[in-house]
Amino acid sequence: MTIAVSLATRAGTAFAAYREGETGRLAELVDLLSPILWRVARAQHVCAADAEEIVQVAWLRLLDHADDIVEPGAVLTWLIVTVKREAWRRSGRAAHEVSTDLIDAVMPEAAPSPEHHAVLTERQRVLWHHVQRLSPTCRHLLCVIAFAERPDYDSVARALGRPVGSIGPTRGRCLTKLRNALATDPKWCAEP
Amino acid sequence: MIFHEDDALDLADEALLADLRELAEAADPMPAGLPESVKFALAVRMLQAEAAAITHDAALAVRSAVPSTTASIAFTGRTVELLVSASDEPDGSLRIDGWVTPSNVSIEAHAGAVGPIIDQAVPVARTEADDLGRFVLSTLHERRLMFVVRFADPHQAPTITPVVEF
Repeated sequence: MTIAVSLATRAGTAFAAYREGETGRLAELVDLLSPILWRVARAQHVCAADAEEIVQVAWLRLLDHADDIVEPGAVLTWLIVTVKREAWRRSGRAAHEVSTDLIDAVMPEAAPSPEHHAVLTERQRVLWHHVQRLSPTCRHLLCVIAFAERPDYDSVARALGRPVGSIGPTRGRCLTKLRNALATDPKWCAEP
Repeated sequence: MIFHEDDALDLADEALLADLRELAEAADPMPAGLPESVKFALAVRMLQAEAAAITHDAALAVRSAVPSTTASIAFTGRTVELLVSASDEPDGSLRIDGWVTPSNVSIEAHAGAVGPIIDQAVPVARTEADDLGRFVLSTLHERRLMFVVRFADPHQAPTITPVVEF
């Protein structure tokens, strides 16, 4: 088993180089982090077109605030928080007013469009079925950390706004719930 | 077999998260062009440039019908209009015949990636437009290009185009 290099570490290296004058390294950072930032935006219940704009706005904001980020390794969590806040700002919700659970309760769910559902394998449909039955908090947490590496899970979960003390258990509980649901489904085989 | 909450993240979890990633990519894919449009927006901001948009693209239709023939693309920015026609030279390189307004500008072609532009890399070709705004960039060996239009007055914002493939 190879040890995954933390996404935050790789991003931090490129960001530090950018700040030291290798401006082109910013392009590398964009390639590295846009997939997870897209996922964060989508987890905030915004449509695909808005999610695109929100990700773009977060990157432009990074240019303005590049010097405010004390530790380069924090650039990933800085961008996640910025995407999340921008998504909330657009929905007219203030971050301090609304808990994520309340948002989960009142906002409609993003489901895959029919054309995308059609491209899923049978195995993916089974997984999707069980993912949809998780709580929204669990579903979003797992869908975002799936785009990070193992060493990043805690910092990513923290940036997504889970209470500090419950990060580990929340992530563990979400995965456990999903694994148990899959384990009792005869249509699910663990190996593809 | 029932898993418990205090189980450490193990290989099964890693495999499940990998499955989830594939599922998310299939069910709700990130638009393929998103990283490039982010880089373009960053380059425009960093170079304090103006962005030109593609307003007419005859290249796609031409490409699908008869490969290796002329492709014309028009770009429009706030202060600049640019029309480029690409054709293949006998040696396989690319020739760009262009027209730009205003005419007192220089035209740069950059190999199609925004990173080097941000780094102010040397363009693959550069020329001045004549009094009528006509210009030629020849013997290009890159087919993915973006153009930068610069004014004689360095305080006037340059215009940059998106990356296009010929």
